[in-house]
Parts: sequence; C-alpha cells; structure tokens
Amino acid sequence: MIPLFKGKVKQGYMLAVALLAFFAVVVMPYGTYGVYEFLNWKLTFGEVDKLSKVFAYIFTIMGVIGVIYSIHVKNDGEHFAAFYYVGGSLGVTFAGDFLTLFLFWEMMAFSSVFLVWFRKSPASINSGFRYLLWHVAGGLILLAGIIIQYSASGDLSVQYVPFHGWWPTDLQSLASFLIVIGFIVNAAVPPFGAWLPDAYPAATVTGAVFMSAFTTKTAVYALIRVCAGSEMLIVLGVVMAIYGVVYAVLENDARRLLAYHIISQVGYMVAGVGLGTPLAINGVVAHAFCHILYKSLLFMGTGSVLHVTGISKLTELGGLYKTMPRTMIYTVIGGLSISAFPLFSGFVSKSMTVTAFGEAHLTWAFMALMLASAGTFLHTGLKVPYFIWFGKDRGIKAQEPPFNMELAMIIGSLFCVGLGIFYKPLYALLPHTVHFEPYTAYHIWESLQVLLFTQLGFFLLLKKLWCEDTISLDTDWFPRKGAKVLMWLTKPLARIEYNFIGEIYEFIIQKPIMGAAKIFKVIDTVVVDGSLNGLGKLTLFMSRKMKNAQSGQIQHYAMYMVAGFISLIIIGMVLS
Amino acid sequence: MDISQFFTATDLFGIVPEIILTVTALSVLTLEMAHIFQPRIILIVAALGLLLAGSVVIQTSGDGQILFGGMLAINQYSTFFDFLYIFIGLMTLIFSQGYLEKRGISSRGEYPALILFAVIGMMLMTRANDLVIVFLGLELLSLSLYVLVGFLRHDQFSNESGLKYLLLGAFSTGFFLFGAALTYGATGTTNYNEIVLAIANDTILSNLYLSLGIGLLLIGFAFKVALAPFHMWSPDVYQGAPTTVTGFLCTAPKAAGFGALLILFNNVFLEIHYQWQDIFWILAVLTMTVGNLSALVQHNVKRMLAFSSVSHAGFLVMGILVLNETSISAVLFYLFVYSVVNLGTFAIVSVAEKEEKGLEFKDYRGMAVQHPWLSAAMTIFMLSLAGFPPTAGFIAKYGLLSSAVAQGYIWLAVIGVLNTLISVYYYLRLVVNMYMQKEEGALIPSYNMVAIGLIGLMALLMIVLGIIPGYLLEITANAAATVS
Amino acid sequence: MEDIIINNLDYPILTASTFFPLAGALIMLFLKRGPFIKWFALATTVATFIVSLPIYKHFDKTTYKMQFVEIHSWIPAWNINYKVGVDGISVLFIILVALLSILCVSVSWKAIQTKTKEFYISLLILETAMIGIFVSLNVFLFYLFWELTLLPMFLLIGVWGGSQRIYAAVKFVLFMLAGSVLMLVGIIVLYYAGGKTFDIIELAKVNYPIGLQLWLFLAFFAAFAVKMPMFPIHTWLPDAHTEAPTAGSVILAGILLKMGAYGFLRFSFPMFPHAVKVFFIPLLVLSVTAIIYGAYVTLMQKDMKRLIAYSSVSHMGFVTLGLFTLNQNGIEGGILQMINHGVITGALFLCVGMIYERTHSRMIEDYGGLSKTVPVYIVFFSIFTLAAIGLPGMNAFIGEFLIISGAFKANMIIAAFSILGVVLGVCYMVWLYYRVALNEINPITQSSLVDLDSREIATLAPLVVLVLLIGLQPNILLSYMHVSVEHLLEQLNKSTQLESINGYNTVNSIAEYIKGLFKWV
Repeated sequence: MIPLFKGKVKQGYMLAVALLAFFAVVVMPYGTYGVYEFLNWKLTFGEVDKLSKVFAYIFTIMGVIGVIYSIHVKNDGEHFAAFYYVGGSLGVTFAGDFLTLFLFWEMMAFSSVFLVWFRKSPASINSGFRYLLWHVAGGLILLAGIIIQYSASGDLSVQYVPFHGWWPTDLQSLASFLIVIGFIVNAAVPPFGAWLPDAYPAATVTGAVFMSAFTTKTAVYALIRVCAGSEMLIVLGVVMAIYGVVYAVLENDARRLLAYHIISQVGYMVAGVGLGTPLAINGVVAHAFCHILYKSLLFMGTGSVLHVTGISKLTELGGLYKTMPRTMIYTVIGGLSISAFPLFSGFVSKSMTVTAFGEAHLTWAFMALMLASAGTFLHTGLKVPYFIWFGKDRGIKAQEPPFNMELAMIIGSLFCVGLGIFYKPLYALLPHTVHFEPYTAYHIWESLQVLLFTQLGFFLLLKKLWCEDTISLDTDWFPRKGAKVLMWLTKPLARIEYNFIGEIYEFIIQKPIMGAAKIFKVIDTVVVDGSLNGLGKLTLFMSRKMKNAQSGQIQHYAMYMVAGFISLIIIGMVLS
Repeated sequence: MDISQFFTATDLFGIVPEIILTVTALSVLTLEMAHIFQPRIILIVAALGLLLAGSVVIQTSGDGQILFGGMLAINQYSTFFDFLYIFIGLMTLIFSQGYLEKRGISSRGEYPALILFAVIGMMLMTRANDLVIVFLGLELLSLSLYVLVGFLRHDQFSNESGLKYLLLGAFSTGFFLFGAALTYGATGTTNYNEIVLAIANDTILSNLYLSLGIGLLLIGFAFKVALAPFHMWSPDVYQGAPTTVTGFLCTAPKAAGFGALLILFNNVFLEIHYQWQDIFWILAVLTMTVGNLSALVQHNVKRMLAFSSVSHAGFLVMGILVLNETSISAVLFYLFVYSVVNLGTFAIVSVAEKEEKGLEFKDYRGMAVQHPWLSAAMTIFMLSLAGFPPTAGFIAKYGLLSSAVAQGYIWLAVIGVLNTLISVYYYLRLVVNMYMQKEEGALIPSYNMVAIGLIGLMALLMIVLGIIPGYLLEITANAAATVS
Repeated sequence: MEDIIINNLDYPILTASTFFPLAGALIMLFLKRGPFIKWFALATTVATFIVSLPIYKHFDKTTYKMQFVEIHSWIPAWNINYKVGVDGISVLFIILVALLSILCVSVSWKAIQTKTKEFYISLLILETAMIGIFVSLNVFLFYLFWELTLLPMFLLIGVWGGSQRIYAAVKFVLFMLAGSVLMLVGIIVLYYAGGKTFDIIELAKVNYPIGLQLWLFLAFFAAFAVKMPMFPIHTWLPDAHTEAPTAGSVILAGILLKMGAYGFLRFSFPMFPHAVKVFFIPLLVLSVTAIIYGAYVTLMQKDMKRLIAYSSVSHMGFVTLGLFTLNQNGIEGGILQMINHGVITGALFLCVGMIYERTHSRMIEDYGGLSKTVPVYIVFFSIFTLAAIGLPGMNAFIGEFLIISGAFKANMIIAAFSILGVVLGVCYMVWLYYRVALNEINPITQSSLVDLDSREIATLAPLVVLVLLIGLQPNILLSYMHVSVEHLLEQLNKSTQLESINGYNTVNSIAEYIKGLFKWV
C-alpha cells in the first residue's frame, strides 16, 4: 500500500501503521486467535501469552523507532521490505503452529534480503545472495524438522520439544534436533553465523537497523518457545559470546564490529535459553528486550555517521565530536548500555542472565560470560566512540544527521537510560515472576570492577591495539605483554575468520554443489544421453551394413534365394 | 460332342468377371490397333470393363461354390480379393494416365490390357482350388508384370529392372512348379480337397516329398510377396519400374500371394501347419527386421517404400503363422489398408516425379508450403504405414498383433512393435522433409484433378477406417469365416 | 453399473469439451489464412474452457465413482466401447488443459509468424487429444488419444522450433513410441487376461496372477516412465523443451509430462497392486535419484529453457515420489504437485518465451539486471521463481510439504534425500534469478528489451492467481481428490491371493531379488 502515498502523507501513513501495530499489541489480551483450517491442519495465527507478548512489544517499539529513523528514505521497496520483515517477525512471535511459524520465517528471510539488496552495490548483492542461501538452507532444515515432528507426533502446534544431548537418537529427537539447527542458523550461532557479519554491514543504513533487531531475536524467541533447556545451547551460547567479542576485537568497520557484537550478545541469550531456569529465561527475555534497543541505537549512530560521511572504517574516522556531538552522546549511551554499565539498560538484563549462571553453579560459563562482557565494553563502549569521535581528527566534513534519524536515536537513548533506572515495568512484562534485584552492591561492584579494569586496559593498550607494536621497552611490561598476547591470540583467528568462515558458503555450499553439478552434467550428456542415442546409431550402422547386401547383381540375388531355400530345408529337417 | 460334360452354365456364370475382363482387354487392344481412339477413351473403356466386372463380382458374392469340377472355389473370401484386385487395377489405370504421358509414353492399348490380364491372373490365384490353376494365375500375373515393369522402354532403369524381374521370377516359378510337382508326386493329385483327403487318410507316397513340395511352393510365394531372403529383387525392380506400376506391383501381387498362401495352408496343409510354425516365425522376424533396417538409410523414396513393403510382408506372415479365423480376418483387413495406402503413396510419388527429380527424400523439402493438401495426404499415408492411431494402419496392425498375442506369441508381438518403432524413423523422414526442411528447388507436381481427388479420398478413407473400422471388420470377418 | 454415474446433464458434456477443439480445427482447415485464424483459435479454446466449466459445478465430491459417464458401442467386433468419464483424480486436469491451451494461443500471438494456420490446427488437435486422455475410460480409446498427442507435438517442435528442432522432434517421437508400443503389447495382453474387455473399471476389478502383474506393470511403466520422464530416460525432455516454441514447451511441461503420472494412477495402481508393492522401494529410489540428479544437472545449464526443462525432471521426481509413497498424503501431494508444476513451469516457460521474443537469446549470460530494465516482467518472474522454490503461501509449497510428509511415512532415508533436492532446487532457481534479474545490466540485450504489454500481462495474470489461490486455499483442489484417492488406496491394498502360474516364477524370484537389492533403504 505504501506506494500509494507520496511525500509527507506517506511518512505519516507509515508512522501510523507502526504505532497502530504497537497499540494493537498493547491492547491485545492473552488467548488464541485466528485459528484457520488449512488442509487437514489447524493454523493458529494468534497465540498470545506473556512470552510472545513481551517480544511483540519490543518488536513493535522497534518498528516505530526504525520507521522514524528511515522515514526519509525515498525507496518504497525498502519500506515495503521493512514492513514485511517486521510483520514476519511478529507473525513468528504469535504463530501457534509450526506451519504458520515456518511461513513467517520464510517471509522474514525473503523480505530482509531486499534490505541488503537495496543498497545496490555489487558487494551487497553478493552478500545478500549468500544471506538468502543461508536462510533458505536453515529454513529447509527447519521444515524437515517440522515434517518429521509432524509424522512423529501427528501434531503441528508449536510445542515444547527440547533437545537433549548432542546427537539425535530417535525420531522425536531427530525432529527437535533439526528444528533447533534451523533456529540457531537464524540466531547466527557459529559456525552457522557467518551470514550475519557478512550481510549486516552490507545492508542499507536503515536496513541494518531493522535487521539488527529482528532476525536473531526472533530466533531467540523461537528457541525459548520450542527448546529451552537444551544443554547443547549453553555451550554454543558461551562459545558464541566469546567468538563475537574476539572477532569484534579485530574489526575495523564499525558496523561489522557491531554485527559481531550482536553475535556475542545473542550468545548470552542462547546460553540462557540453554540453561532454561526461570531466572535465565527472564534474563534472556529482558536482555533481548534491551539489546534490541541499544543495539539498534548503536547501529543508528554508526549508521548516521555512515549516512553523513560515507565512511564506516574506524581507522578512517576520528575527531567527529566537534561536528556531530549529539550523535556521539547517543552512541555512547548505547555503548554503555551494551557493556552493562549500571544505570543503563544492559545492566539490568545482562546481570540477570549472568547471575542465572552463577546460581546454576556453571562457573566456567559464568566466567566466560564475564570475560565476554569485559571485551564488549572494551570494544563497543570504548573503542567505537573513541575512534569515531575522539582519536586523531582527520578533519572529516560532517554535520548532525537529519532530524528523523536523530529523533529515533533520542527515543532509543531514552529507552536505554529509562530502562536502566526504572526497570520494574520491564520486569513486570517478563514471562516468569522476577525475584531479582539488579542494584545490589555485589552486582554493581562486580560489573564496575570488570568495566573499570577494562577501561584502564583500553587506554593503556590503545596504541598496541591498532598501531604496529613499535613502542620502546621502557614502558610497563603488562600492556606490552598484553598486547603481544592479544595479537598472538587474534592474528590466527583473524586469518580463520577472513579466509574461511566469512566465505563459508563458498567452500562448504557452493563449490561442492557446483563441482558435483558439473560432473552430473557431463554424465547426463555423455553417458545417459550418449547411450540412448548410441542405440539409434547402432541401428543405423547395422542398416548400412545390410544395405551393402543389396548389390544389384542378379546372380547374387539368386544365390540368396538358393541359400534361403537350403537353410529353409535344413530348418525343416531339424525341426520335423 | 457335348461340351456340357466339361462345364455347366453355373460354371460359366461363375467366371463371368474373368470373361468380362478378358473381353475388355482384347477390345482395348483392338481399339489401339485401329488408330482412331484417343488414349483417354481407351482408358475409359478399360475402366468401364473393370467396373462392370467389379459389379458382377459383388453380385455373385455369397454362398461358396465349387466350379469346373473343383478347379475354382468362389466364396466371400475370394470375392473380397477379387474386389481388391479390381479396385487396385482401376486406381492404377487412373493414376497411370497422367504419368505415362509425363514419361513420354502416351498410354498405349497394351498397358491397360496388361493390367487387366494381371488382374485376371490374380483373381484366378485366389479363386483357385487346384495347384494348377494357382500356377496358371501366377504365370498370367507374372508375365504381364514383366512387361509392365519394363514398360518405359527409353529408360534403362526400367529395362534393367524388367529383365531382373523376369530372370528371378522365372527362377522362382521354377521353384513353385517343382514344388507343385513334388506335391503331386506325394499325394497323386493337385486338387486341394483331394490333397486334404490324401493327408487325412495318410495315403501319402512320401512325407519327404510332401515337405519338400510345400517348402518349394512356399518359396515360390515368398518370392512373389517378397519375404526375406527372397526379397532381394524388390527394391531394384520397384525403383526401376514406372512408379504407377510399382504401386500396382507392391499391392496387388502381394495381396494375391498372401491370399493364395492363406488358402493353401488354411485349407490344404492345415494338418501339418504346426510343423511349419517355426519356419513361419523365423520368416516373419527375418523379413520384418531386414526390411526395416534396410529401409532406414535409403535416399530414394521408391526404394524406401520397397523395403517398407518387405517389412509389411513380414507382419503379414504373423497372420499366417497364427492361422485362425481372427488372424485371417486381420490379414485381410491389413491387406486392404496396406494396398490403399501404398497406392496412394505411389500415386503421390508419381504425381511429384519428374524426369530426374522427385525420387529422393530431399526433393520433397518444403513441399508442405506449395502443396499443403498433397503433403497432408502423404503424411496420413506415412502415419498409416507406421501404424499411428487414428489411422487405419493402426487398426490393421493392432488386429494382427492381437491375434498373435491371443495365440501366446507375445514375444513375437514385442519384436513386431519394436520393428514398428524403427519403421517410424524412416516414415517420418518424409514428413520431416516435407514440413521442416528449408525448400530447395520446388517440386511442381503435374496436377491431374481426378488423381488428386482420388488421393484425397484415399487419405480420408484411411482416417475414417481408423476411427470407425467396424464395417470393414465385419466384411473381413465374414470373408475369413467362409474359408475356415 | 453400480460403480459409475451416467451423465445426467442434458448434453454429453465430456464429449463436448473433448471434441470441441477438434471441431474447431476441422473448421479452421477450410478457413482462409490471415489474422482471423488467431482469433478463431482463441475463441475455440476459450469456448472449450467455458464448455468444460459445468463439470466442476456439477461434480460430486463425495464419491469416488466415475461421473458424467457416456457409453456408446464403438467397435463391436473387438468389444470396444466409447466410454468416457471423470473422477476426482482426472477432473482437475481437464481445466488445466483448457486453461493452458488458451494461454498457449495467446502467447503465440506474435511469436508464430509462419504457417500460423497449421500451427493452431495442431494446437487444437493436441488439446483434444490431451483432454481425451484424461476422460477416456476405455484402454483402447486411451491409447488412441495417447498416440494422438505425438504427431501434433512432433509438428510443433519440428516446424516452429529452434535450430536443433528436427533432431529434438524425431528424438521426442522415437522416445515416446519406444514406450508406448510396449504399452500396446501390454494392453493387448491385458485385454485377454482381463476377460476380453477394454473397460478400465472392469479391468481394475480383476485379480491378475502376480507374474503377469509384474510383466504388465513393466510394459506400462515403459510408456509412463518415458513420458514422465523418469531418470535415466529423461534426455528427450531437455531437447524437446528447448527446441519447442513457447506454446509447445508449455504444453509439454504442463500436460504431457502429467500423462505418465496419470497413467500410473489410472492403470498401474488399481490393476497391478502387487507389482507396485514389489517395485515400491526401487521406484522411490528412482524418483529421488531423479530429484537430486535433475537438480544437479539443472545447476549447470546455461540456456534458460534448458534449465527449466531440467528442473522439470527434478520436479516430476517429486511427483513420482509422492505417488509411490502409496499413502494419502503422498498421492494427494503428487496429484496437486502435477497441477502446480503445470502452472509454475508453464508460467516460467511463458516468461522465458516472452523475453526470447524480444531478444532472440535464451542464454543466461546475455541477460542481467532485468529488474531495472523491465520491472513489470520481473515482478511476474519473481513470483513464479518464488513459487518454484516452494515459498510458503505459494502452491508448490503445499505439494512438496504433502509429498515429503508422505515420504517420511514411507521411508526415512528417501525423504531425507528429497529434502536435499529441495535445497538444490532453491539453489538453481535463486541463482537463475540472481543472474537474470539482479546482477548488473547486460548491454547485449538491454537495447531490445521492452516491458510486457497488456496481452502478455493478461496471459500471465491467471497463473499468478492460481499460484496464490492454490497456495492459500489448496482445499479447493484437494477436496476433489480426497475420496478418489482413498478408493485408489483401497484398490491398492485389496487382498490379492497371489497364485503364481508357472513360467512366471522366475519373475517372482527376480522381484524378490530386486527387493533384496534395496534392503538398505
């Protein structure tokens, strides 16, 4: 419908739609709606409970923010895709049965890919293509899971089928295994996560904002729904959290960096889902809620820098605090939130998740997550702001982004701070009742300690992090050692990242398929078709041979006749 | 002396058609001697004679009767064949008119006369109830054919093929006569009924003689109907002969040959037929396959058709192999369809043919553009030969296969259909050339409205028979019923 | 007569809708050449469509019995009747034929410049033959129509086709015949084994001895498998599809391929249930081979038509897979997928044909960035691509879902492999779309590209409607087939006391051996 409207009207219309969606969710009572007979299955389009509703809230809020942020964009197609995308995620949230879920799942994939393609650079088209393949593959695995689920239980409603262990043992577990895989492809769990840092930076400025919010969180929702408490997820989640951070360390492109941070943050959530205790689930939901806000805020910030300057490489930016101070503030707020700084939204949610692990006495996971959050702070909280706004001034001409962008960022920041301070309403929304008080001395001390230590480290390691190690030996040994360690740690990883995982689809999907395809084609043309045509050729060959018998000489013909007569007699003799 | 002891009025009445035809033939010759008449008139006279004979044939058809003391047996079976021969003869005459003029030989009296004699000979063959009569008919047929084949006396191919046919024909006649003699030696008679009695009462001099005799007779027929390996003459002769004569040659004698052969084995040697089954299926398979394979790579349409007719003969042998009422009826149906189709095809070839051109496949390229109707007719004939539904060719083929399968010759049926598959290739080649190839040197058929009209009618007939064959099937069934 | 419902309308509707096009063709035979021919053809096809509509209005979905049956004595000498009727399985194809024929006429409007009269005549004859196949209840009649499809198609390919047309046309006919002549022998044998009748319903009641069943199954299989086409006898298809004119490709993909599958449903399943069970696993394996193999070969194609042609191999693999699962889901999915494939692939061929008209190139590398040059066209193209991929909400998804869920009931491993097929399907379609629609604009063809005109849009629109309609409300179609399919399964599972007649024991052991071969799945 969007193309129908022009100019201001269109913008107003879009905003209205978004807000409408939000209020629709607000007023939506719990229950089941839109049951719809399809083939011999019931399709349930509206399955509303606390869990789905909280996600619906954040999705719609995000929708509003995103629309505001992108309202200046002229390309109708982009809005179209964005709306489909949001709609898809909402659909997944409310889906009461696997078919519906799958339907919207695919809808998200196919609409979001356009957000990438609409940037129209060859790179973005390529990565969008990879993105699509990833998601379709994931979706099909999911479909397989659903089908098996159906033929195993004969029931298609979205139900709780956790997957235990590491390997499917029977039909049911095979089903849930495939379903989990399908979900975690969307959740960008390594090694299925390569699409995310590949696609998001390639997306349009506004598209990235949308994408940062929905795909992964929808997956998290689905995971909570279907397979909370699958042990496998804990490990994957923790690995994911670390992985994201580590690669963020190496990242230079601001938006790519943030993309990696999505991975690491989602890692928290996946791990939490894997844990599956009420506290963990609450933590996950809350974290998803806040994460969407501050991550989109960060994407908006960097996005506006990109929008204004056209640069997203950290090393090429710097000293923008003079030209776009307000944007800086928003971004820093986002950064502080993501690094769970007290009084910021990340704190109230992340600490909850982490504590859940503490209570579950999974110390290794606990420590790992702590470490990750330190890394997070190091890179998002400090590195991004520092390099963009402070650091060496490269005298880039820039000004504040358009108003609507800024407005969106303001809203986002307000949410971040607000939730950081008045967190009760959020907790009230959570599926399980909350007995968790973030602002205890312990929590604050713990996080502050981590954060401050990191901060210290950051400023000490500043040079080592990005310049070559040229510092003379007389400085303190720790930073240098640290730097060495860090470099030593990260260089090979860097190689892995850029040589393999980024192009994983090249090596694991495309090459084998294409290779096999080549072979098969040869087989088809040479062997199969050849043999069939060969029959015909053989016939023709025999026929030519036979033609030679037709010499035209009467005596030959007579000879043939006599021969025929004799053989006839012989046959007669033999037979009678 | 009283000649009535030799034959009676009924006898004479029975052979009225032959008489009519003989008279016509002679009168045509005399007309030609007196140089007063146009070729057209001669043709018309001959045609009238044929029509008259035909009507008489249809009149006299009915209950089987034995004439001339067991020399001739007239029944619906023979009537069917008589009708077929007359039809073929008539068509040939009509088509020949334009063709001979084109080939520089204004229709002489002897041409129609020879055709008429050939028809008489064939009628005798299928009416015969005595080996001697069969031989008589065979010779009468052959002699007139020898002349007809070499009729284009300016054309060396024609002469060559005439000579070939004569020599090989004489050779095969030798076989036939020797076979008849041996049979006589074995059974002491040449009359069918008495031979049957002799075999039944086992008053046979020597089984070996009898077997040899049958074998030789079979070869005699095999030559006439061009069964492998006695078919070698056919492509050369077909190619050289005047196209209309070729049309006559590949339809009428085949019909006559099979007609007589069926009678021979069904009425006379039925007792010992089962001993011959292996030979028959070997002949069938050999003939089908050789015919088809040789036809595949021909460039000359007439040669291709010659080989195709060989393969069709192979199909027909299936009917003789099975040899029961259904199969005989199927053979009759097949013969009728086959004759009509081949007449039509050769008519088109003769119309299209030029001095040097018109005989190669490539000469037909792009024919569909100028002569859509002619090409459509040709296509229908080709499909009918290939046995595509809904043409009569399919019904005919189906009948034979069905009768074979009913007797448990499933594998033979399979070989048969596979042969059909091969044959489709060369039949469609003509269609491909007419419709799908770029044109090279347009072919300008010499239009003769009557001929074109008749061709169209034949094509239509093939379609109609393909969709509602019921009536003809009844006729053939009745005809078959009278002999078995 | 308890198992058929005589046509109770006041006119013979099936005969009418079958022979209407033929009548049109005959009249056209005597019309003058000229633009009027087109309109006449269009009118005939549309009229046929309209004539066939009441079938759906009066169709009784609650019975498996043959409906609108007409019986007339035809060739008494061989006990052959003219008997037509439809049940839930065949009824849907009639409308498909009628619809696609209209589209074929409309798409050939400009494309066919030479010998237009002959073109439309063969097209109409073809339509009659195709409808005839689906309505005939007499094996002889069926075979008649079956063969009747060959020649018009042969002409369509050979006369109006591409550069390799003659090779393709002859290949097509020879392949088809190779199958159908064997079927002919099978039919004759069936005739005697089934008590000298050609009546399909009567024949289906007989219990044939097992050995005979195996042989007959193979005989019919030859014809159907070539038509489908199943691996490894599919190679006529890419040639035929590629060389045929657009209308020809559409008919081929839309209907002719379905005839084989329909044959399985109409003959093999009810008449040779035991044989079907013997060849159960091998057939599944064959189908899944076709799926994956076809998909792989498709990936490498450089010629758009060829690509789509090979994708049909893969898709028809899904159809056979569905049919041979031998359970309700699978078979219904199979039938539905036949329709879907007809719609989608037909539509894709139309799309390719339309740009081919403009650029006279089918090579993928000659295109690129069409989304910028011809947006309207790309809208349609995208819809059909997504449908072909099996996007939820589009028709193919329903079919594939039913088929695969049926397959999982039938055999785990096979089903898993078929999923791989789906993945590959996405790969080649998306890749095609990417190269043609996205990419950067290709200068070679850019100049000659103009967007669709109203006629072409009108041609494609109905298919879009079908795609979405079936995708969102498949019950519209499925409701027709439920009962019939249930009945089919009953026939399939009817207890056959397997008396084995001597001579066929060898076959039996062969069958057992075949079973043994495929134990691993």
